Amino acid sequence: MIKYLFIIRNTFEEYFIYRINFLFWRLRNILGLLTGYFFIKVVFGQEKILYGYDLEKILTYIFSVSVLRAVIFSSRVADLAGVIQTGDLTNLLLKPISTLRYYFSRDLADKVLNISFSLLELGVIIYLLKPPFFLQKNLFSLILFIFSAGLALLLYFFINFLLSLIGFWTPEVWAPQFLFGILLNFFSGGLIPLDVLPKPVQFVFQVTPFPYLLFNPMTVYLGKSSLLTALGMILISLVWIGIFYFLVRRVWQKGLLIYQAEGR
Amino acid sequence: MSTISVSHLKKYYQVLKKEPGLAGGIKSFLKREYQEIKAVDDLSFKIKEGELVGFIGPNGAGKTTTLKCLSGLLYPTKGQVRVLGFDPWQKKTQFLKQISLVMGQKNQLWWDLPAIDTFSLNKEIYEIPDQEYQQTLNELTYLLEIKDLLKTPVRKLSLGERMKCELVVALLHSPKILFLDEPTIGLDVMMQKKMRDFIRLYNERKKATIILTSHYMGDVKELCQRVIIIDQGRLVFDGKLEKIIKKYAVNKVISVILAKEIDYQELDKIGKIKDFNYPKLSFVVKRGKVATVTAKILKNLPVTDLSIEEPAIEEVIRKLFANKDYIDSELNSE
Repeated sequence: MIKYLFIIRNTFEEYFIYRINFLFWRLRNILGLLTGYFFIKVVFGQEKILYGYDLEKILTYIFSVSVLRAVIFSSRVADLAGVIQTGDLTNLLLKPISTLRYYFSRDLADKVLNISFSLLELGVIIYLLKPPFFLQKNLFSLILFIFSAGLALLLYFFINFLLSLIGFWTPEVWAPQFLFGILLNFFSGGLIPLDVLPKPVQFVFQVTPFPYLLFNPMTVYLGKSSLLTALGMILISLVWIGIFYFLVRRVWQKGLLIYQAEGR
Repeated sequence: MSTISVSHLKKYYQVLKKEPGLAGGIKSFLKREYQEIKAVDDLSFKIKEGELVGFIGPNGAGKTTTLKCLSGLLYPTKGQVRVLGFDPWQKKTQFLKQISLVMGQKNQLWWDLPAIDTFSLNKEIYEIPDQEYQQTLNELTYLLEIKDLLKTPVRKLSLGERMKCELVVALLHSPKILFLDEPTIGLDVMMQKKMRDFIRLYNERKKATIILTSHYMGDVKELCQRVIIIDQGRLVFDGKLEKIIKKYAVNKVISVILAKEIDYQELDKIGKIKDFNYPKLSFVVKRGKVATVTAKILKNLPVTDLSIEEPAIEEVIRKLFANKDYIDSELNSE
């Protein structure tokens, strides 16, 4: 396992080389947070409750989703499609190392960095703007939230890994990845809480794996899910992870059969 | 027993066919047409432990494809490949720990980090014990003269320096099999020489089996006793380098240094002139007529020095590939 720690170390090092990129990337995140905050303030106006959310809970949702998104959606595995296309995958295939774990390690480095800075930035914004913020004090709900967020992280990794495997069949990976990113943000509840949508739409969304990435863990944090519902969501998350893991294995093996190690 | 055994290997690709221009692009967008490329077509050979074999052929001959099959990157269309008793495609850990593939055109070093970071990562990937790693690293960096470059980001290194680091990273785990694909490409002559010396030394010290592909005949001439020539995915020749000359060079070159100037017309009576730049003169002569022509030269010309030479290997190979002399002929000498 030490080899994967070294991959995490090298990934960290890479980030700190391009300092300007790093600073602008963080600035983008702060601007995103502030935009969300002021947008909600304007939308709420004088209203006390909108779509079942009070200002405290909706702001908590917006801020917490931004941190959660930073943890779950931060990913290096999207690079894999390009790596397959350029033939750079060869470097990994020639080594006694698992490509899946290699990218998971890269992702972890990304996530550690993201969560550290996101929490710091969120702390500064809360300190400066002093918005109403809901702190979940029930330890059991917190544990369930952390567990479901952990599963969301795994689920996102496998979905993204699977999508990147398109690179074995076509060089046109940018468009599907871009479209997927936009849809994912909406379907997972990254833009708005999904329970503000009409019931039939919510039902359709819930039969996909996407709400298990952001929205469902957030409902656990906000105390909007009963214990039974939360446990049910965790169980379904596990099923989705199993399905995507199986698909990744199958598609990976199929992809390797036609891999041409191009560019060499 | 053979370390590498290739039997009736075939690797065919489906390649997208596209007519030139915008119309061709639209047509290709609406209806895709594919063409089957026979990159390797019924190739068989065996290599023993410790051999250093030159693998040569014109561009697109199938050299790199063969190396990719041997290292387990490509799934063969047909045929069997065994390396160290393993099926490379299975990519077993024990197999991967004993091989290395160095490509001259691409690198496996982490681009933005110093080379030492990639070395230490590979130490963990290949589970090299601390002492062994330190010893190998010291030895390799000393031999390749890169001790001072280890902490410089890879992107700041010159091509030659980077290739040396590539060799180090490929050899840290002391592989028993080394596939070298154009390891001297783009390097200046000094650096090429250093690379060759190092490859020879590694082969001798570690008794490693090495397959080398190169467009520089100098690499092959200096390093390899045995060469395998392929073209259009098929085996053309497998044997000792000097046998190529005997097999394909029908002529020899007689070089002469003249003592004084002579009438140019006199020369035509002796034989076919290859080059004349007084006092140097050379004739191209059929192998069977060398003795007769030499006698004529000595009798009719004022000669101070004479030598009979085989044509340069580069020239023989170039003509071989250009004329495809081997097609429909008896091919393998061994």
